[in-house]
Amino acid sequence: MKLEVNGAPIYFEIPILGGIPITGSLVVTWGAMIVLTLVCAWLTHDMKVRGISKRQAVAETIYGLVYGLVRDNMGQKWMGYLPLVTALFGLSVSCSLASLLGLWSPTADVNTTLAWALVVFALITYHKIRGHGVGGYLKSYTEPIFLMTPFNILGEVFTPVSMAFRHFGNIVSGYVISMLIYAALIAANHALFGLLPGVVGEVLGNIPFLGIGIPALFSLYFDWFGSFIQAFIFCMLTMIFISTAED
Amino acid sequence: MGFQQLVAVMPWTIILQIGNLLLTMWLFKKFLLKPVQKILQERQAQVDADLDAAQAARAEAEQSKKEYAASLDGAKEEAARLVRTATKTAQDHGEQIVLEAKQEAAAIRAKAAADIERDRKNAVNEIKGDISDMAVAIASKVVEKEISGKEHEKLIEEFIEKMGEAV
Repeated sequence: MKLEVNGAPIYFEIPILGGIPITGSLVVTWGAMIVLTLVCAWLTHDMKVRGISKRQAVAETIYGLVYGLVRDNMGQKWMGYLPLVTALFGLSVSCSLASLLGLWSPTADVNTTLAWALVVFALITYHKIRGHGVGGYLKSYTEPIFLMTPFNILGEVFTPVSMAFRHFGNIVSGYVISMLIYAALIAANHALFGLLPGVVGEVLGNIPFLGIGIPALFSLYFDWFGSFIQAFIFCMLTMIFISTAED
Repeated sequence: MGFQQLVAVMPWTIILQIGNLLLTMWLFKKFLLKPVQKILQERQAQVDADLDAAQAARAEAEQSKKEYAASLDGAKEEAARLVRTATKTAQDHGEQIVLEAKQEAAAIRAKAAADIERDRKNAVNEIKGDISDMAVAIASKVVEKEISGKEHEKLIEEFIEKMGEAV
């Protein structure tokens, strides 16, 4: 049995600027954005000051959670980063959980997480320069001694790279392991029911009975737990790196 | 439909995903954060207004309470003053009555004394007359001799005068 592990599907290419490939990562991300926007719009439409609906209570609870997260980790003067952290968390969780629907997870594509990490990196650099000035920022690479400059540059570059690969690696490993487990279960199913004689064994062996239920158990960890914890870690790192950049 | 490699850098995907992130930020801001913020601010404003109103009501109630206490104190004072005035008036009145009664009693006593004196004088004068007549009769009998009233009257008067003093 041959098992192929591919990256994101490429649906088509827009034939401009040397061809823009439209991949599964992009399509699922757009879908997630539409779903998130619709859910938000549904949650927050027709809100009241008193006598609130359950819908509004959910919206206010989500807002309170995100607000508390940003305030506790960044501080009151950094509340302008509330939309970024909310967007990162929402996109990360919904993109990772897309695999539950049998869709491609955009976070299993390193380009997605690298894009987010580059945005965070740009903000970190912006705040470092704002806090120390251009001279101070450049000088920080030569500290504590000039010899350390290459390592400092590497360390700086690897901030976004490590953020991107941490998130990507966790999701893609879950994806690969899920595939392996599923393939193994089908093979085991085939072997088990193939023991039955004649046509009955042929038919039952091709129905993946073992594929029911057991993958869901693994998906509990790889999809649900992994998705939330990676989104949380990515947001935490974003908040901590940005809020400590000016110090 | 092809597949990209599991780990492959796709510049267009990176650029578009950055755009998607920025767009998602805007969408979240517009559809989740702003509306909830607006509601929370409105609620805060309402709570503040309610608190202000409650505070104002309490201040007003305390003011009224003070006013009532003040007017109650005034009423008590007024009542005390009335009682005092009434007592004093009654006392004065009583003293007046007693005084008048005393004066009247004194006047009655004085009049009674004058009446008694006058009666006594009248009685004395009457007796004086009787005694002088009797004395003349007795004397005429004793001396058997007519005594001229005019000659001896002086003598008799003196006698009576002495008698009257004895009486």
